[in-house]
Amino acid sequence: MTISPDRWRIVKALFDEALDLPSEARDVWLADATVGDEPLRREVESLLEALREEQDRFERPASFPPDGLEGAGGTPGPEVGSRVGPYRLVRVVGQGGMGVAFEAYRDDDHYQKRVAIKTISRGRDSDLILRRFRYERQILARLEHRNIAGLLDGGVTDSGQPYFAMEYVVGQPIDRHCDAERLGVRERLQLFRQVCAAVQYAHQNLVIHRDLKPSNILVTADRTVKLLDFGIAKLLRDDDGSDGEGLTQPGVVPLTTAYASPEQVRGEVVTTATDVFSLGLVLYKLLSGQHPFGRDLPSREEIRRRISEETPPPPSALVTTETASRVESSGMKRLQKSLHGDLDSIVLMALRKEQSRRYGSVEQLGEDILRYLAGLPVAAQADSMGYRLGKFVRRNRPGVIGAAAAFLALVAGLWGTAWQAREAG
Amino acid sequence: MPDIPPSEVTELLIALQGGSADAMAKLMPVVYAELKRLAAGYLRAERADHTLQTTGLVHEAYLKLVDQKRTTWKNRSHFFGIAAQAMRRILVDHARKRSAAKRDGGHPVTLDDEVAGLPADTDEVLAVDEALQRLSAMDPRQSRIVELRYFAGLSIEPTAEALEISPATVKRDWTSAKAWLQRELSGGPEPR
Repeated sequence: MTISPDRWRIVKALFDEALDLPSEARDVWLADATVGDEPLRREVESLLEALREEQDRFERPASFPPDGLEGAGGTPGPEVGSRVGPYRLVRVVGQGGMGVAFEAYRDDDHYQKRVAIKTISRGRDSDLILRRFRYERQILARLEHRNIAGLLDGGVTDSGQPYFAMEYVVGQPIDRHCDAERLGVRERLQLFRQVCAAVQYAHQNLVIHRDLKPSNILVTADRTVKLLDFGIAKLLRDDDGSDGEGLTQPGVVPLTTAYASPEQVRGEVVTTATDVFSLGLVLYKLLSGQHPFGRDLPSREEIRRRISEETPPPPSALVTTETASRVESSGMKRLQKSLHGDLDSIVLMALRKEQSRRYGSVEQLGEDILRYLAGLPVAAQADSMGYRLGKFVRRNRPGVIGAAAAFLALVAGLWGTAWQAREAG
Repeated sequence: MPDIPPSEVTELLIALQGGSADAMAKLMPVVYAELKRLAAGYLRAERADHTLQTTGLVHEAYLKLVDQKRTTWKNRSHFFGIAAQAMRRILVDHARKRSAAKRDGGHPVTLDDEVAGLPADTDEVLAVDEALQRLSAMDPRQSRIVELRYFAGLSIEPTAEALEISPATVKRDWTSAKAWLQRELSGGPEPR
């Protein structure tokens, strides 16, 4: 609906003012402010209602799909309705640089199982990917964990494109889930511990993810974390021995390298510590709402430089009123305060440039978060006596006070005894 | 595409700040062409593991076209303002082609970056563009804010700089614009 500019100015002013009020006070205030102009009240009310529904829908800027400005080029891949191996494709659910993802069903007489089929874009070496897949499939198929979307199958389509069949997950990327649900810091940490558990399990099975980022970490309606694409990045890596999605090839660097580690940016050897780093970035985002290297629109080159050279600021330093508003019961000050100290240290320890100075494993990262949640001293902190003592006192406040009182009583008693003894002597 | 050296775009930006309307007319096609060229290049490369974000493109075009040693933050802001308009046109053209291809029975594509089951972008881009035309009749500056935030992916601060208003004003106007868009796009009875 379009209204006159003057009318819109009034509507906006009322809308802004209403937002400054606690939500339960708005109705009464609005009725009062618009008395005699019922349409005006309805107009403002419907906007307030719309803002509640909006759920950051427009915070995600418009973007291009990755397959050609002038329409899709090249031979088309498999289409909805067609079959890929034993699966019938029913719907496109996503499209990325890697290829297209479909919802599909296993088309047997006996049972119908819902799966996600990912086809791999042309322009990659299909034979090589398939050879790697055959080599890795045993390992990947063994990854059975409630927080990992299982890899079920893989093969080639009729037109020669590699595809993977995976457990179908209905969920939301973890960062968006946390903000949409306005989860508090502790709830965010609990969810993140599920992520750590899954990655740790995979590491024990000798699989490194290599491409951990919020969009690969989904949260389902019952708040179960599901990690997607475990091991897939390795299958798709360039064959120059280095890692990760063409990171080392000039000219074809993907725009988003934001969750890569310094060693990936430099094209060096990838280890489990690589996943620790990416998890550190994910945790950073979950806690502060920001990416440590994402300020003022960096170019890809700049992001890569920052990842490999810059010491990130502690998460608490990047909290803004805007990001704090998405965390449950946290104003900016309050959120800063809860991140300052242990959580800052944990995140920064995961984000150290040198692999050897990060947490030795994802398990250690997860344990440190558990220690934080339990109020115990975290390993990430410099292990000073004062720090430990502070933690001890906070954890055992009644006990410490009791002990201190007993100690004082004892001193007083001894002194009293000594004094009496002297008096007597 | 005419290859315009950075010096010329820089001159134009400086002239624009001096109030030259002619400079604006000359800048727009150059920025448009460069953004389109950059986008097409990345999309053709088929390597991006993500949907192509416009923010990176805008920034990259800036680094490429403008001699940063000779410009101020004001020139940079003007550039972002122009780039946002260009980006909007490119995205809308692209979305139109897409939805035409879909109607012609081409292979149906939802434009999403991940397998997360999120809604398609094509229709959203067209719907936002159309709604913005109406918003600009009510409040031109507010519609520019949406252009910068939604089509060029700029955050609050650079948006404020591009429009030479305070971040607080951007935030307020952005919030009411989001609510308005949500209401307009959630499909009440709408005469077309």
